[in-house]
Amino acid sequence: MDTVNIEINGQPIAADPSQTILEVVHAQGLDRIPTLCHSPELKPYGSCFVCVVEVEGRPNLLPACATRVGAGMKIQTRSERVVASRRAALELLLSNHYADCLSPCKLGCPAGVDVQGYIALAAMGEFRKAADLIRETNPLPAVCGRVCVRKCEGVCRRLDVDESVGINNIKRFITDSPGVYDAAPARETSRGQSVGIIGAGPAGLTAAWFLGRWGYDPVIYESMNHPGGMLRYGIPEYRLPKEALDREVDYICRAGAEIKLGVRVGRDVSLDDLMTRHQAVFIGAGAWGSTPMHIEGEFDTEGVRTGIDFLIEKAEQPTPVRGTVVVVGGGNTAMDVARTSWRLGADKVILLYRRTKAEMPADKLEIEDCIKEGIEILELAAPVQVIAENGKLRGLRCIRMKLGEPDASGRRRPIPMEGSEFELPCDLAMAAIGQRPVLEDLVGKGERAPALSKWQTVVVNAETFQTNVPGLFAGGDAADDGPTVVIDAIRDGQRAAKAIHAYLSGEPIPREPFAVRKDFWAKPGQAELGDLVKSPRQPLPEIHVEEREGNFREVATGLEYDDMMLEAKRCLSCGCLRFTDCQLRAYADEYQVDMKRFVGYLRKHRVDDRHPHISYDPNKCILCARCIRTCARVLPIAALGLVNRGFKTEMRPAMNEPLARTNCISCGNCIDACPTGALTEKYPFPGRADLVTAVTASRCAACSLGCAMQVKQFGPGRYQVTGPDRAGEYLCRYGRFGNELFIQTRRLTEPALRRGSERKPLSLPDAFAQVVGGLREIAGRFGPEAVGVFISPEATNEEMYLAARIAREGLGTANIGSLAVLGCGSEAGVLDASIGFTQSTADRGALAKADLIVCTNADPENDFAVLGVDVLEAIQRGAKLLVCSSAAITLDAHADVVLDPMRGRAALLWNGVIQDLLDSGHFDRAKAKDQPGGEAFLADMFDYGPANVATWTGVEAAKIHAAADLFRQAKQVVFLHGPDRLQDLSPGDASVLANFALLLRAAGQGAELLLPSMAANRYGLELMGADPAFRPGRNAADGLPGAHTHAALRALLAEGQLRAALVIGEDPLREDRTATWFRNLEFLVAMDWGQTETSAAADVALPNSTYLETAGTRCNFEGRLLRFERVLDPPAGQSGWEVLAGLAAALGVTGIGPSLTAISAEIDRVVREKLAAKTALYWNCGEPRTWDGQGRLVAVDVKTRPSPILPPLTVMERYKRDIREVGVERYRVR
Amino acid sequence: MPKLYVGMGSCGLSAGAREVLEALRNLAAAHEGAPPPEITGCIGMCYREPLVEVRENGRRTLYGEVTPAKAETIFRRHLLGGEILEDEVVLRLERDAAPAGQEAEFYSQQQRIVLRNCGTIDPESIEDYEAAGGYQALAKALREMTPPGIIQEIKDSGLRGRGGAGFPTGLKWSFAAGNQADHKYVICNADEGDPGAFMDRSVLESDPHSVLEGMIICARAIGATFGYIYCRAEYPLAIKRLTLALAAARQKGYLGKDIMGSGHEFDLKIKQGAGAFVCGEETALFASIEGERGMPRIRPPFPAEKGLWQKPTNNNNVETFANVPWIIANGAAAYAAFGTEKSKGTKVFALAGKILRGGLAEVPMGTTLNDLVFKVGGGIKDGRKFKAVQMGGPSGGCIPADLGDTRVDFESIPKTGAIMGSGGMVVLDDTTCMVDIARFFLDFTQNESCGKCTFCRIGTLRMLEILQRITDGEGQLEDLDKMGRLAIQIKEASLCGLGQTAPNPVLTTLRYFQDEYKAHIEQHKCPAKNCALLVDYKINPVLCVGCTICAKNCPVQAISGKPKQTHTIDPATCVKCGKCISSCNFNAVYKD
Repeated sequence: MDTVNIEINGQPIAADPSQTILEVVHAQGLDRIPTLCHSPELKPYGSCFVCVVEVEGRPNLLPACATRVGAGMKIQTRSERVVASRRAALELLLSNHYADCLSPCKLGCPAGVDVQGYIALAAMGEFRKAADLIRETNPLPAVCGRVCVRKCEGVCRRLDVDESVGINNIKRFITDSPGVYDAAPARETSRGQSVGIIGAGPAGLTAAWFLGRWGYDPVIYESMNHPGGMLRYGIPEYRLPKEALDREVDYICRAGAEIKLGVRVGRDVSLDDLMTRHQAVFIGAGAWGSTPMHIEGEFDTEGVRTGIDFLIEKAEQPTPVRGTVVVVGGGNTAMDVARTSWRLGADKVILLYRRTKAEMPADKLEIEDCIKEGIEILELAAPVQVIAENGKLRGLRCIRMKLGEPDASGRRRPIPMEGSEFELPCDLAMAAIGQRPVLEDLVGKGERAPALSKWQTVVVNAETFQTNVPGLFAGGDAADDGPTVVIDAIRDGQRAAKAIHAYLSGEPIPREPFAVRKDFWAKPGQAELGDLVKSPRQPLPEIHVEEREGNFREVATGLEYDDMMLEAKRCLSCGCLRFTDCQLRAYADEYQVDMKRFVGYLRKHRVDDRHPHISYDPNKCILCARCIRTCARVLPIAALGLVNRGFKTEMRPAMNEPLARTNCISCGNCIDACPTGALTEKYPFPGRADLVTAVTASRCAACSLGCAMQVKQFGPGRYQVTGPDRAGEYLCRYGRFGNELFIQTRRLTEPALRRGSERKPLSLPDAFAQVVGGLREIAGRFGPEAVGVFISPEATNEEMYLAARIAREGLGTANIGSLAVLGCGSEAGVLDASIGFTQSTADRGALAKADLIVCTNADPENDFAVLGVDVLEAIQRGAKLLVCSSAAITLDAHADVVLDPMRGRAALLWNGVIQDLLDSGHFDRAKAKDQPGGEAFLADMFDYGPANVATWTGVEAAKIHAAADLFRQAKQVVFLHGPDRLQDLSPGDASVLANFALLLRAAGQGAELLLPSMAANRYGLELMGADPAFRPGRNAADGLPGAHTHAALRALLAEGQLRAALVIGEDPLREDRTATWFRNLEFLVAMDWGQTETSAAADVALPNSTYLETAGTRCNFEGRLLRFERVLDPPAGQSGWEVLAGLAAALGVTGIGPSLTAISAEIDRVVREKLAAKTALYWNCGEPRTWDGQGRLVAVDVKTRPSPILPPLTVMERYKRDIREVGVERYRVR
Repeated sequence: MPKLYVGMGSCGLSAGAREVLEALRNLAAAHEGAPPPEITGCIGMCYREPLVEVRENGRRTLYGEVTPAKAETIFRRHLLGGEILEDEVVLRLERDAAPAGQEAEFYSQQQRIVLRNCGTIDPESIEDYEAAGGYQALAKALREMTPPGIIQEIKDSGLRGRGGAGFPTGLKWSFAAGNQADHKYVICNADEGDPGAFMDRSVLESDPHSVLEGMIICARAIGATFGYIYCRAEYPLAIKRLTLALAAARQKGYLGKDIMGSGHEFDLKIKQGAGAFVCGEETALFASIEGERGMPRIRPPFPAEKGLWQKPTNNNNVETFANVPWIIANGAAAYAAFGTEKSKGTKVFALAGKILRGGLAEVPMGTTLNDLVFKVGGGIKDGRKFKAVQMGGPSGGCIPADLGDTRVDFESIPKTGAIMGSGGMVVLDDTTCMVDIARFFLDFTQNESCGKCTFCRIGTLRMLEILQRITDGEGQLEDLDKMGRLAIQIKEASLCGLGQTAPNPVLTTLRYFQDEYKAHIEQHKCPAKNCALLVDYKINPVLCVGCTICAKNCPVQAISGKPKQTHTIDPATCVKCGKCISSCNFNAVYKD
């Protein structure tokens, strides 16, 4: 390779001049240049300009993705100018990126709880995972599920439609679900450092939870006798049962926290001591003091007390309350005090508030409950004096208020109305108008006493939560802004824990990830949300008021399962599904963009989700055109394009139609190509959030290509298929969305026995006994030749191998094969006589080298879209295309010559082309005669002149000649032929093409046959011995009774000689023609993953597994051995191979390995031993695979009438046919 | 007998030339022996159209602003009566005599090479073109010259691309000639889209064959067999005359399999553009011809290597091709005798804006801006002050009046921050707000961006928003810095010329007229009194006679005052529509 010398960031580099700057920099690992519009498989496009670099001497910055390196270039990849330009590009893109990276609820939650995530998990029924997800940010989900003020619900987008999602009620349901407290939380290895925490309230508990999980030893010092702080003492049981709180505290302790109860810091131990004892200390002491009313007689009158003292006392000793109780205040504590008083028997409870109900800071639901419980609310009145008699309360003197101008809080200021004083008689008056910390004793007067504010709170740094004393932190009600709500305390505990971790470990405090919010511009409102169906919020069931009196039973009983599910489905999933892997967001984070810089007009769109599988959010599109260019690689005419100009440019489906109405084939590769969340997949299950619990790499078995794919799982049975995340590796529609078939088909989940029209489930061993008995009985009566075993060409090698052994060894019959293959009218080993093996002669790479591609009985776009990409690429490179198809296919548009013979006549036509080439002398007859088999072959090649062939096939002579011309000019020919594509099979076609290839090779031209099968493992059948003609390893059949050729087996079936059958993965009874093969059947065993006609009619039905549910190997059309993983658990519990292994054992077949690995190894040994030199052609595991080009010309009888072609016999093939013929709508998963 | 010619370019037609022609036809038909009027193209004096010319023995007398009535006078008195209407003569051209008439100066400053036939011959007659020496250069190129010889001649002439970039044409041809392929293409870019520019349209309408001949010579030089003229659909007359010219040239054997018996093959097609400005960018133009969305492609590969349909392609604009036959016919040295050291020959300019003589003029390279504005253009309209010229279309820049001595050539103009461009020259006077003019051009490029590159698509809008804020009086001083920096980034990181030059109007106005920006921002005043939100309408009490006309015309009743007493305008109600100013007969209403 020639190299040029360049300099990158001052470093001399030898670079390949055919590479771009981006390629050189990345290949040599010199830097990571960001790019949004580029992907290695696509041609450089140059639109995002995020990849710019500076090249000395060039006035402009250059896009690294599109600029080739040249000798002497001096490149800067991270100069100030480059970084500024990249940042500006990102800022410009983001200035028109109307998106919620994270949902408003998550951002609205002080603790940053992933609300959308846990709702999605709840909707999937994954309650334990949902609880764990909450605990990632908040260890008190059960507490918050009951008493949180729900800032998340206040910002819920659903509010613009109807009512906010009942987030808290869902959360409560999650924490009430069984098992969410079972497994202990995971802990990092101990760091041997301890942290002292003062107070076992929400702030302290939260800090302890995180520190414990991160490997610290948190020790909580709690002055009370029980943990929980205000959660226990300030919130009455009817709102938060102690049992729920105890569960949470217990779980936090299992994360490593130790709680020392009854230890008051400042009395039992000093703060200084703690500072010495621990590496860091956190003050989360809460606010246990009350704000006074500042009225006369407040402190020295019996019967006047603070609400908080009252609650603390009653939490421990719920003694009765008598007489009239007046509670002053309008916050949640006032409600708690009032409702507690009512429960403890007060005759009358009055809430005294200086403004009106509308201004009350308390939760609206709380106020409603107060009213329901008969508590009186006296609005616009305030106490001015305590009226006492002998030091005992008699009543309160109050004054009427009116509302004036709004104050700093935005609420209207109450103004006393002169002369409106009145007396309110009462026996107990309690103020609940605010709390404050009482910390003097705690902090003491030592050197290490932290500074307190004038409100007596600990002064902390807002970022680090550290006080002025190093290593001393504070949060919750005790710190800074004083008393707030539970979730704020949790946030403080969480942030303080991070800060303490940073302090102790020396690591920086992690930055909040970059996220854009729609609210940055404007709330979306109805117009952008689209036509959402209104659905009311599910009310939270409560016990009746009569049931509440005199007790502290929890009032809210929680949602029922169905209601919770409805509620979860109301979630709009505002947060982006691509939060974690959105490249735009990642670069925005890396380059620290400033969203404010380019604020301006932005386009707003509705999300287009009319396509059955693909959702397009134009708001998130950055016009990188990767989807368009990817689409153009898959389809001859891209279904996506750009419309409009300037700022109004948009990516849209062709002609601005809904995507599903374009020529889109729903391959979904555009989704993988999208660097942001503009194109996403619709999940076929409820719940949408950026959550993936497991990613498994496997392969697709929808056809014989065996494309690599990834399965992203969200929980059992909930998964999504994507491409393998390698540039340029695609999936087709069937690979990506084939799971819709698995979801929509009714599964066979357990063995069943049929008695008349009744079906009875039974255990596997019982089922095996039935099968053995039934089959053996027939074999006994009619001989083993009356019994047959049939297996789908989609099964794994292991399953085929087991089926073959069940037939031969278990039942003693030679009748083993695939009904689908038999139905194609083919023979075993059709090309063995020609080229010595029956497989493709090359792999896919041959297409890249071809200058003439012949598609005969192959429609790549529909059947093998992924192979179609190779074909289109070859055409774009300049390769010629010859299409032979009885029906029009999309590739016709690119074809140099299209031949359209009548169905079943393609082989005749090819012989016509061959004869044209012989007659014109391009193929030398003399030389052909000398080729093996040449004489017999030539003897047959005389009457395929153009006139005859035109008559037989309906293709005019001129076209035949034009086709021959293409062959005359070609240097490297690749035949693409589907051996089991039902449209255009014709007798002897494969052999004729083999002759053709041999003749081309003899003429000095290159020629290869690619034979992609529609079924995933057609090539495995012969190798595994699941064929009447071959035993495992393509070993010639032995002398067992039954048929030894396909023709014989077909004849046997056609004559109705079969009396018993085991049919695995095929559905012959669905089609009349195949059903007649089984007309004399007395005993039928069907094994399938879905319920089929055959399984319904079977005497015994056995469960099978889909290709996602069984591990094993398959042989693809390139002779490559592919490994498949068991990604999902089969609903029946056992994979197909396990069921077959069990059946084989029940039939007395011995020597079967105990595990899949053992069976695979056994197969591998047999194949390698028997195939010897040809192993690499069939069983390629990475060795070079070449065909020597040698072979024998064979005279093929192509004039026979084509045998009737059977319709698809497997569920998958039928699904593929439906998609081709009916379209995607039919399988739309809703 | 003299002959009558009517100027039938788009400018003439829009001024009423068709009616004039009709009138003259009727007159000729009614007078036996009177020759029917002939048509010709645009001579460049668009500001005096319709023009009627009387041609006799090499003497050409042009009358301007001809109405059917005036045409009759000319017909009767001059044509039939032989009387020259001296007072009415716009221009008189005579062999061996200096141009005379009212517009003599407009003409005498010019050196007409590209426009040599414009306004002289009948653009719809190939015979006229041949009679003017047409296709002789092609004959010479085919019979007497080799392809390298042609290219050398063009190189020697110093001709540079007239589309704006000024790339040496001969060199460009040699690249395409050097790349071997089964097909090569010659493309004529006739997608003239700059607001205020109409050089190419005029040439195509007035002398289409000169462009064809240039293209055929080019095809011969580089070995191309096929070509396209990519002409915007908004030029129907140009397309019509090109179509006629193509048919005639084919019939005469100038196009086709065996051109003039030389064995050389070349043919071409007209491709109509759908009005996307960006298709003037050559790679976008290729995409458009190929049926794709008109979007620029990354270079390399350069068009000379892989252009249209991935084949070697040479693309020049109309004016460049129109120069070619003249150079071949008269020799490189004759051409190189005009112009400056590095910019040879002439350049056609479309003069527009606040200039007295708005039209088309071809001057030698190196003529100063002042000469163009004052000598050729006759100065500023309404006696106002010359403020600046906006050169090079929306991607050009504004050159202030005090740089009026700048020579127009490929070296001097870019030094001012503007670009040569294709020849659009908008003259601005002191009533033009420079911030607003920047906003106007940026608005154009923003709408015409193909939307591919981030900076061009979004960056230009963000700049536009800042400009809008400034003209609305809501700008901040830091906006200037922010806009300046963004402008540079847009220039530095855009794929094609559109984005790379889009900020030019902003950058040049920021450079030369920063005070005007600051006045908008700091004083909330538009010095040119142009930005509606920053201008107050007032009535001068000294001049106001209380005629009440303004109050009657005010659509929002913002003007009050009793008859014969001074009127006043309520600024809160006034919508600044300007009706009061235009209706006042005493110049009493003014903008402040």
